[in-house]
Amino acid sequence: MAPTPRRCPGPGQRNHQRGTVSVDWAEVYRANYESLVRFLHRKVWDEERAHELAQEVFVRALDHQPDNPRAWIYRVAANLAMDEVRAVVRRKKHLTLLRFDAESRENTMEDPATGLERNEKLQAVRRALAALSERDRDVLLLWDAGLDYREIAEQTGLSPGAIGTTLSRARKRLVDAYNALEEQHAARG
Amino acid sequence: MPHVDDAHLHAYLDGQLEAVAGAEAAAIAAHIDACAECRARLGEAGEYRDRSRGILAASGPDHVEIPPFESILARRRTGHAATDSTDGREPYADAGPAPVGRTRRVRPWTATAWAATIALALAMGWHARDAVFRPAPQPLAIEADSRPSEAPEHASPTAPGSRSADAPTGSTGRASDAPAAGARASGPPERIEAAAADADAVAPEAGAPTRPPAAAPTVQGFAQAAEEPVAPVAAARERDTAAAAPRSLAGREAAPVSVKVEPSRVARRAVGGTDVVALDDAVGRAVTVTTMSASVSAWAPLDREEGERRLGGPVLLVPGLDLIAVEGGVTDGEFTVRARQRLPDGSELELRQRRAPAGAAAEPEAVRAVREPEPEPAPDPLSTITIERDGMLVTGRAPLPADSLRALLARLR
Repeated sequence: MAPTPRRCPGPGQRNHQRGTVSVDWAEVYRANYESLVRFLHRKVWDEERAHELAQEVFVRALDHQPDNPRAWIYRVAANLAMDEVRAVVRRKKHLTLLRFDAESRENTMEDPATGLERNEKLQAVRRALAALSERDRDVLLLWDAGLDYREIAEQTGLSPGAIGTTLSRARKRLVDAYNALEEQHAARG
Repeated sequence: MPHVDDAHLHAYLDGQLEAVAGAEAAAIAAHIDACAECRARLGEAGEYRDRSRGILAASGPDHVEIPPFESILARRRTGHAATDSTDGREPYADAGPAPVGRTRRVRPWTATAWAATIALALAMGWHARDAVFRPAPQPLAIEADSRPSEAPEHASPTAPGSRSADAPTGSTGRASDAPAAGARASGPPERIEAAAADADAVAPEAGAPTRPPAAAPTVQGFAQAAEEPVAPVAAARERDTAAAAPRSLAGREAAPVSVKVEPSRVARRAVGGTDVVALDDAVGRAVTVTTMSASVSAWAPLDREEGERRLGGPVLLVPGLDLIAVEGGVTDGEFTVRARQRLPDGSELELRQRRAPAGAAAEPEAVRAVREPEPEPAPDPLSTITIERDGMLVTGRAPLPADSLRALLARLR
C-alpha cells in the first residue's frame, strides 16, 4: 500500500490513458511553499534567501515538470541550499554584515528584548542542529517539512526501514543538544 | 513476540508503520497496544518527537507569506530561473533556460580569473604606493617618506606662482613646490642636492606671503604638524639645505640630476584634525591619503550621556551593534568621543567623533574612503572613513572592506 502523504497532499495524479502525470502546480505551490521555505531557512538561515530559493525551485519545477513534484522540489531545494551554503562560506564576512543589516532593520521594528530573545533561540536551534550528523539532520528536516518515510528514503538513499531509527536518533540528539545549550545559557545568567 | 525496535516504534508513532513493516504492521501495532514496556517507550519517543518539533518551530520564520502563484509564472516567463552547475545531479539536468537572476553562479574558472585580476591589481597598487611613499635607502631619508603611515605628505596647497619652473641648476625634474621637493628628495646625494637647489630656487624668504602660515609644510609629518601648526617654510628649507650642505662642502658638485619621484601636484586640505592629502606622482598615479588625527591624549571611560553633554550633540552609534565602551579624550586640542562597537564577526568598529569645524560643512569632499597606508601589507587591513553627520566629524575604523564600512557608517544614529 502506497503511503499517504502525511501533511501535504501530493497533487500529482497519473493520467493512465497517456501515461503521463497531470500536476496542478498551483496546488503543489500552495501546499508546499511554506514548508519549503521553512526547510530552506533551516539550511541557509536567511529568511529572505529562503524565499528566493523556494521560488526558484518552483520556477525550475515548472520547467522540469517532474512526475513526483514534492520529492523533486525538496531534492532541488536541498541542492540549492548546499550551493548557497558553500557560496556563503566563500563570502562569509560580507554576508555576515549584510545579514546583520537585515536583522538589524528587522530588529528595529520590534522590542529589543524580544529581538534578542528571538535571536538567542535561533542561534540555539542552529547550534543544536549543527550537533547532528548531516544525514540525521537531513532526515529530521525532511520529516518536519512533511515528507513521508518513503519520500525521505528516496531522497537520502536510506531504506524506508532505517528512517525510523534515524529519526529516533536525530530527535534525541537535537533535544539533548538544545537542552544542554539552554542549561549553559541559564548558568551564565 | 519480542519487543518492537526503535525503527518500527517511531514508524508507528509517525503513522508510517505500514510503509515500513508492510504485512507485519498489524501484528506490531497489536503488540504495542498490549505491551506495557513498549507503550512506555512509545510515550518517551512521543515526548522527544513533540519536543524536537517545538525546537524546530522556534527557529522560525514565524510567518511565511506565500506570494501569488502568478508571480512564479511571471518569474518563469521573464527567465529568472537560474541554471546551476549540474554536478551530475538529476534535478539540474534540464533545469531550464539561460542563467539569469540573483542566484546565478559564477563558474569556478571565472571566479579564479577575477580573483587573480583583483589580486594583481592590488599588488600593483601596493607597489605603486611604495614607489611614491618609500624612498631609496640612504642616510638622508626624510622622515615623512620613511614613515608613510604617519606622515603621508604635508605640503601646503599650491599657491599661485609658487610652482617652480625648471630649477636653475638645470634639473630636469618635475616642477614642484620647494618643500615638497625637499621632503621627497631621496636617492643618492646628488638628488638631495638637486632638490635642495630647487628648494632654494623657489622657496620664498621667511615671512613671504606666497605660503600661508596655516598651511605651512613640514617634513616631519602630520603628527608634528599638529604640534607645530605654523612651521615656517624657511625652517624646512634650512633643514633640507643643512642636510645637503656637508656633502657640498665635501667637494661634490651639485650635479643636475633629476628627482625621479616627485609629486607633480599636491593638494591638501585639513578638515578638523583629519588631514586629506591628494597628490599625483610623476607618472600620473593619483594617491589619496587620509590620516587620522594626531596628538591623541589618553582615552578615559565615559558615560554616553556625559560624552553627549561635552560633545554638545549626540554620540552616534551603529544600531544593533554591541557597545564595548565609550571613552573621551582630547585630539588636537578638541574633545573627542571614541566609541567602540563589536562587529558580528567579533572584530571592533571604532568611531571617533567630534564637532566639525565651521568650514567642513561647505566641503562635501571631506568624506573620503581610503585605506590607511601601512608599512607592510596586512591580510585584513583596516579601513578608515571619515564622514560628517549632524555637525559632527565621525571617523570609523574597522577591519572591513571600505564599502562595508561606508554602509555601516551610513546607519549611524
